[in-house]
Parts: sequence; C-alpha cells; structure tokens
Amino acid sequence: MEPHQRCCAVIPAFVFFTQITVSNQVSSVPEIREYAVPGRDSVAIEAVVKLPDLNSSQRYVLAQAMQVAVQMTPEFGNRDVLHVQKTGTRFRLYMAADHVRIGLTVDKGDFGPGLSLLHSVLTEPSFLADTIKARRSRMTSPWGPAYRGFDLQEAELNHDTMAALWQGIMRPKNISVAVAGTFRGNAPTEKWRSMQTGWVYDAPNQLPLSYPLLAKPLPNPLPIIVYDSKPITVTRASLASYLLAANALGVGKESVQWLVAREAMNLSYRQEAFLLPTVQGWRFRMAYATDEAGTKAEVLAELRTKLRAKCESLTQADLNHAVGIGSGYLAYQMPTLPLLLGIGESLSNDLNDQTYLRHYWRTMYGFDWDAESILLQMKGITLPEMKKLLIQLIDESDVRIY
Amino acid sequence: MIPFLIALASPQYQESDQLKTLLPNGAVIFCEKRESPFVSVQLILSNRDFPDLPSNYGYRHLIEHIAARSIPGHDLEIESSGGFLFCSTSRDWMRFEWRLPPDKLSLAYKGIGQLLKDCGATEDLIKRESILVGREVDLASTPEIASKQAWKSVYGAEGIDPVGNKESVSGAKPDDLRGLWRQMTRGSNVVISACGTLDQKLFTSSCKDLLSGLMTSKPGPIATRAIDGSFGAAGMVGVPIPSITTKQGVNALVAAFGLAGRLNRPFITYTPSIRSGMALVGTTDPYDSIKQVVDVEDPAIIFILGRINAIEWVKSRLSTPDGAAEFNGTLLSLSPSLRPAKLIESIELASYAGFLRTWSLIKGVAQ
Repeated sequence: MEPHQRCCAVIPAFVFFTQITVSNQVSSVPEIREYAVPGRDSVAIEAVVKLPDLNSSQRYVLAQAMQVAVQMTPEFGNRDVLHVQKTGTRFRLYMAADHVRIGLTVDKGDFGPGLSLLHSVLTEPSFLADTIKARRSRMTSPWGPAYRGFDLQEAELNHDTMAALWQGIMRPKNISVAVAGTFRGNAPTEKWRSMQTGWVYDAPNQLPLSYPLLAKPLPNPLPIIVYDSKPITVTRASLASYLLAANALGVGKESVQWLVAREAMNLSYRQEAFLLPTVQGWRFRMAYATDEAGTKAEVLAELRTKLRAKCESLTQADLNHAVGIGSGYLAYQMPTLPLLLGIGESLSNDLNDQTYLRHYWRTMYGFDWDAESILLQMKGITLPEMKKLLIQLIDESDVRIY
Repeated sequence: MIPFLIALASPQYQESDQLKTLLPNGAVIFCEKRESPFVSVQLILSNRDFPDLPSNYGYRHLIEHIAARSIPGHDLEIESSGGFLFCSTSRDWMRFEWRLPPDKLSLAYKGIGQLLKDCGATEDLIKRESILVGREVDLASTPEIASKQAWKSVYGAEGIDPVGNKESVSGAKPDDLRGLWRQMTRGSNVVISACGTLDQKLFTSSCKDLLSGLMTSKPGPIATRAIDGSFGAAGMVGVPIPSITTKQGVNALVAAFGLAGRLNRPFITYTPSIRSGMALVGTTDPYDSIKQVVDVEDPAIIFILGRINAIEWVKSRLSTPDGAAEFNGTLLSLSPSLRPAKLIESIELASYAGFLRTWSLIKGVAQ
C-alpha cells in the first residue's frame, strides 16, 4: 500500500492564519488580500484566476501558455525568474475547471520582487516562438482523470493565439492575489497597488476559437469508473452534508466503497468519493480504478446495487465513523479532506497550499472556510438524513468511464 | 485555533525535546515532543540484512496489505476518533503510522502490540490482496514506473522493487509471510518513532512494555548493491547514491539536489539508505531539458545550490510531526546512530571533487 493510498483526496486541515487586510475593491486593479502568519521565513504568493467558459482546445492552449509564461518576461529574464523565487521552489501552475492557480514562494521580505514577477507574468509574458512547442506532458498518472473536471483537446500552438487567450483571461476582474507570511501589515497591498500598469482592458470579449485540432489524446492506460452526480450547489449549509456523505462513501478503510468495491468485489485498489468543480459546476464524484472486466454493464450494475444496499444498512456507528473522518481533517490535520480543486494532486499542509485553498474559497464563494462551523454542522446531521443523501447520490449519478 | 497556529508557526525543534532509547534486545524507541494537533506514531520494521529476492518478490508488500487490516475493528476505532492508519513499504523497511489526536495515543499502543504478535496472513487474505497488489501495480504513475526502470538499469537484479506483482505474490503461503514477519520483528529490526504532543518518558515507558518481548538480535552484514549500468530518459535521470553514511553518498546527493534546483517543475525521489540507493531526478515541464542544464550551467553553482537544497530537504522532512517521525525513525532503522543533524553536517562538508564525479555521470546520461 503506497502512501497515497491512504484513501482519498488529500487536502489537509486548515485554518491557520488570520486575514488582516481586505484591500481594494477597485475592479481596474486585481484585488489583493494579506494573510498574516507569524514566524515564517518565506512568503507565499498565490493568484487565483477565475476562468470563463472555455472549450477543450482553449484549455489545452491555456495549459501550455501557463508553462511558457513563467519562463521569462521582458522585465525578468530566465535567471531572474529563478532568483526571485525562494531557492528550491518553482511556480505552482494548475488549471481547474473554474480557475487557474499561479503561485510562487519568495524569501521573507521579498514579497515586492515576487509581486513584480507575478504582475509581469500576468501582464506581459514573452511567449517567445522558440519556447512554444506543443509537447505532451512527460508525466501521466492513470488516476488523473478521476480528479479532472474538464477535457483537453490538443491544438496547434502559436504566439498569437496564446497571447490573445492570455489577454482575454488575465483581466483584473478575474484575478485575486493572496500574500501570506510574516510582513508589515498593508505593505504587500501598497506594493501591489504601486505597480498596476500594463493591464489590457480593451481585449476582445470573445476569446479566440480557431484552434487547428491535433490528434486526440491516447486513452487512459487503466479504466477509471466515475459516478458523477448532477451539478450541485455548494453553500455554507450544504457543504457539511456533502462532505459527510463523501466521508461515509469513500474516505478511509471502513468506508462503503472500500468495503464493497475493494474488499467484497475485489474490483478496485483505489476508490474515492469527493467534491470536485467541473465545467458544469460542482459535482459529487465516486471513482474507481479497475480493469476492462470491471467496466462491464453487469459489474457496474452489481456495484451500484451493493453500494445502495450497504448504505441502507448503515448504523449509528457508521455515522460516528463518518463524523470522525470529518473531525480528522477539520480538527486534526489528517490529509483526507474529500474536496478536490481540480489541481490533479494532493494539497499539502504547507503555507502555499493552505493559502491557496483559503484564498480560493474566499474568492470564489465570498465566505471564509470555517472548519469549526463545518464540523459542527456535520455533527448535527442524523443517520436518516445521511442515508437519504447517500442513496440519492448513488441512484442519481451518471456513469462515465475514462 | 491555537494549536493550528502553533503547528504552522513553529517548525523548529530542539534536541532537548527528543528522547532516544536503545533497548537490550536491539529495538529503538525515539520520540519528540512538539505542540501539534496530532501525534504521529510509527512502527518501522527494517529488512536491511535480508533484502528482497526474486523468490519472495513483493512478499513484504503483501504482508503490509494484510497486516494493515489484520486487527478487527481497529481502523473503525481509529477513523471514528479522527485519526488514520497509513502504511508503506520501501526497499529497506515497512512502516505503519498511527496519526492520532493526542488523547487517542492508546490506539497506537494497542495496534502496535497486536501487530507485533502476528501479521494475520491466511490463504484467503493472500488470494484477495494478491489481486489488489496487481491492481496497485497497474496504477503506477510515470515517475513510479521510471523509478523501477532506473533501479533495474543501474543495479540489475539487485535493484528489485519492493512492490512485486500479482503473479509473484499470489504464490505466497501464510508460512512464508509469517517467516518474513518473524525476521522483521526481531529486536534489532524494530523502531518505534513518534512526534507530536506527547510525554516523552511516558511514551518511552509504554513502548518499552510493547517491545520487551521481542527476540534479541544484532544486525547482520549489510547486503551491498553493485552498479551495473545507468539510467537516463526524456526529462529524468537516475543518480546512484552510495550509502548515505559515506562521503561519496552525500556528494552524490548534493549533485542530485543541485540538478533538481536548476529544473522547472522538478521532482526528486530518494529514500535514504545505507545500501547503494537511487535518486530519480526529473522535470514534469515538457519545455525543460536536463541536457541543456548540464551542458550550460556552471557546476560550481550547481554544487552550492545542491548543498542548500539538500539541507532544505532534510529540514522540510522534519517540519511536520509525521515527517519528523518518519525521517528520524527510518534513519534509525538503518543505523541507531544515524540522525538528521549528522546528515546535515555531512552535507555541509560535501566536497566539490566528489560532487564532480557524480555530475560527470549525470552528464553522460542526460537527454
């Protein structure tokens, strides 16, 4: 059993710092928020960029553009880009269905150069012709599709389409920047405000669409079965219910999916349940890594029947287990939070990832992630309520095989 | 809220907060007191003097699968209390980690006590878990597959991986697994390592009770691995790392971390070993080129960068309670005198000439 098989999506527990400033609300300048964390020797800078509707080719081009954009800018050469960042760290670049993450870490006191570098990347990436080469990522993970909330379609790359797409997306109203670490209050905000030139406000609203398509991606090396709920609305009130449902279904070695799919049916080694932003909105997803035999219609039907039966038979002890799992990630920093932001890998407990998670939540939903409150709500859910939701999620989900 | 603040604001530790105890039967207990929302207790079972063989390929990994679920109701109890049981198997050790709320430490004592008695191997469980080992192999990511290839390319048959496959493990018998388990649970192969909110003396005393019944033993001679080749592929290279207790090992580690420090979106996989080991260094950025880095960059700068990065790597491993328990514990399972501070000191004293030998090797395989 490898470490990642601890069961589930791995965003750890939080909340660890206090927000000390809510800065400008001026739409012509990307907003910035400061998060004070005492005693840190580095500063995390995280930009969350909201995405408009993008087709699968635009997503591909944007994914490639992110890689090229951080190589160099007119202001920061290749080596400057490395020097500004804390030794041993690199840009964190991820695309989710609803946003992209551009993060970097700098030494304590270097938030100024860090913000300048970020600003330069956002406003004036070089996209030099000789660095734009359509290449497949060298890395693949058969589990990857389980965590992805969008499709990619390879397309031809060139400077003009990359730059047009970049300008269309990197607008102040779409961008929110977080700075976390130890610094004088308001200093990052003042710095950020002092450098707000270069934004393109009059870029065409219509993003470029004419991408010559290339070959379709190869199929996943291993079938991943995904049961997706219909799009759901994640609110303060519903979040605890869905997280509790995910705990019961797919977190831990006593979860329904583990007991049914792994141990009773021998269908999968890895099975999880989690919330995930997708192109159509948030979904509750159950995923299984199996083989060709596991994708047969009769096997899928048997799986659904057994999951349903197991859920109907759950007891108070199972509810206590699901709440215990919740207290693990909400109170004790267990890396088992069943909420994926679509970055394709686990979020760690470090300052960068925690800043990103907290800032993402605030930016996208307008309210703070409040672990204590979520746990309290979770503890108030009754067994019949949990069972009803579980059975609904199982009955109403659509199957997809990657 | 306060514990979170403390945990994230205070990654430093003091030697005075640590307690290491060597038992007469050869077992080691290590603990470090640190304010944290959770405590990490790890049982580490070394196989340093009986490496995996083609005849028992993947057996220890299979044992880990079975043992992890061998105590009825244990996971339910742990998870319901807000904790979690994590397990992993490397070439040199097997590790069970109880990550628990501090007031639930007794669950770790209970689990360790039960596990040390028996791994729970039965015909039925071997059959079930063999299929799952096969499925686990199918889920390997590119770096995991590359790591296996690198070990095989560099060390030949001696680079055998600990994972096994469905075919190899399905032939195991309960007695085979119990035999290996007995070897792994001899005194000198057992380490308990913990970090978090705990009382060092009380913890040590409780662990002594758990370990006092183990068979007394002394470590046997370490099986070495001979370099038999090299590994370089698109975006990654295998860097052989001699024993981490040697100067050559530390110099090679500095080269690996120096290279990683010059790559975009780098990754490095390395587990310290006192046998010859391997660092797989690569980049996930399809726009980056290892060959360009080694051809263009000044090795003297890479050397300096490598020392800084290697030291940062050790420090980062120690920055969380679970990381500290694992790093301290696995080093102690290699040698009861091997400590992170000693490793940092060795990295600071790394030699440029020694670094260049590994750098030249990397240059030879970079693509």
